Amino acid sequence: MKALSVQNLHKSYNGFEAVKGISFDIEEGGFFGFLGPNGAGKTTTINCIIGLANFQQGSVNVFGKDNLKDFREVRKLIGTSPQDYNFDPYLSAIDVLTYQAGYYGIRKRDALPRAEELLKQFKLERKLDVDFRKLSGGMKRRLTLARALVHNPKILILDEPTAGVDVELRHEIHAYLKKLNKQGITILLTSHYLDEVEKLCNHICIIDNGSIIANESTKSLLKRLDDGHTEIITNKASKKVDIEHVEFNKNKIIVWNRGKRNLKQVFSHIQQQNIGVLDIKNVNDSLEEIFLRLTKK
Amino acid sequence: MSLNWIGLWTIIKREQVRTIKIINQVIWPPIISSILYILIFGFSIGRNIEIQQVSYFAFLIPGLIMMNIIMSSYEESSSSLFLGKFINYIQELLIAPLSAAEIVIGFTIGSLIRSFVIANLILLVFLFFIDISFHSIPLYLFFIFFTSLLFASIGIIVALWAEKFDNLAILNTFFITPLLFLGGVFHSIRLLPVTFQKLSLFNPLFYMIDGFRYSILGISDVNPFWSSLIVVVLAITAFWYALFLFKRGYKLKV
Repeated sequence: MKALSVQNLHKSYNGFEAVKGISFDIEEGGFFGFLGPNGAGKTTTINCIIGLANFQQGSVNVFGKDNLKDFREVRKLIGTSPQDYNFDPYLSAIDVLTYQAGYYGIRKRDALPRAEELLKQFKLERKLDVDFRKLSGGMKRRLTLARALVHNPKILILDEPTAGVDVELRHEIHAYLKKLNKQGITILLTSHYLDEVEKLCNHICIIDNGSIIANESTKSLLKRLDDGHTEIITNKASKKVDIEHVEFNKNKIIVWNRGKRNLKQVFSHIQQQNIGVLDIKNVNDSLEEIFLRLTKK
Repeated sequence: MSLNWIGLWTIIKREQVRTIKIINQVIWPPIISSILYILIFGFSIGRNIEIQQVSYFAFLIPGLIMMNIIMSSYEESSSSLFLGKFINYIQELLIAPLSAAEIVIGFTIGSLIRSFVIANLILLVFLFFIDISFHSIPLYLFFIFFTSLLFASIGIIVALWAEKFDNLAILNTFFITPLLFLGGVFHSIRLLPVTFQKLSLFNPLFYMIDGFRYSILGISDVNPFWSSLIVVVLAITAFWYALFLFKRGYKLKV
């Protein structure tokens, strides 16, 4: 079943078309990376999904329910963790969670055990009654995630969930998100840490200038757009010869993946010159390199 | 369509938590300033003055209470909503399964409770000094309710429009305060020259003060029916407009 289906979404404001008719689906249980450079339209798209932006055309369905007509059901299914901390300044950590649950129609007595469990999971159990302003950056980030989960959503929308946290916490959050995903929660993740997206997401959608420029499984995207190469290190410089997709650079010969069929020709060329091979290695593109190539203006 | 009662109750509760946390800013100042007004104008200057057969002290009480109802209901909704916009926690409500009507009603009830509490605390303090027999308790509650509704709604409208905290003060400084002082808090418009009496009739706050005074003391400058009608029409119009803007997501949604 489709957990989220965005179809032909158009959003303009002040005469600027921020989202130009994009469509994508997320299957239930998917871990979906939603990427794009700053100003590409990803936050606007997320805002249209969660109800923070009015869109002019298109539809957003969550588990088959329209996010405008059935807004109450849809919003109960979604948990959102925004990039910026937007806590109510008058509430303590535990109140942040129980009030949030209240807004989702859950009584305090029913929300309290879940809130306490989440604070424990996020190692905030000693900060129950602490004013959120007195929490460290990492604690605030964990509280943001706990708040997104307090009403037991089926989809999590995470906007830069590891922004501004140290490496240790980042790894902890990764592990927790993987665990949640294994439990069946569908996750839409935006992040500027592309290694994070590559590591966590099984599907990637890249948006640029309001349009989708890639939307496929992480594996196939990396395979399809990988522009890696094979590096051959020799004991002396080879004479240059014109072979397609091959570069001779002193003691290093680069054979681009698209020219791999020419490897045999390269080896016979260096053999003819009695040149020894010291090392051969494959260099693959990271998601970051693919992303930069795709979104290069 | 089902209502998110728990969500609505949570907003109301949250508004009360906010009021309690800033009690020194919002509850004690109006009570203390009202006592000071009474001490200065009621006990000293106005000791020997009577208006429409009531002592000036008694005459002042409804005006001072109404002044604080207006101020507190406006300040509660405007500052709470604007702060929500300013630090973005309003997004918690906007993405929750709450309708625009539930959010607006939540903020409005928050304001109504605050102004009701302030009005009655001030009245309680005054009852230590003077014996008042209420002319009409239902009318007293009616004026508190509709005046608070009107100014809570105006507070929401201004908070939606405002870009900075300074904008919230515009209405207070240039409209509410002058209209309050000219609207009969401290005087009966019958004491004014005819031209000013006629001008006072264009001041909507005059009807709230005058009608409220009638509910407590049974005296008024105009027929309380017209005061009641005007406050109801204005309150419903302002509430409808606040709801309309909130539904559209005016300055809330991109």
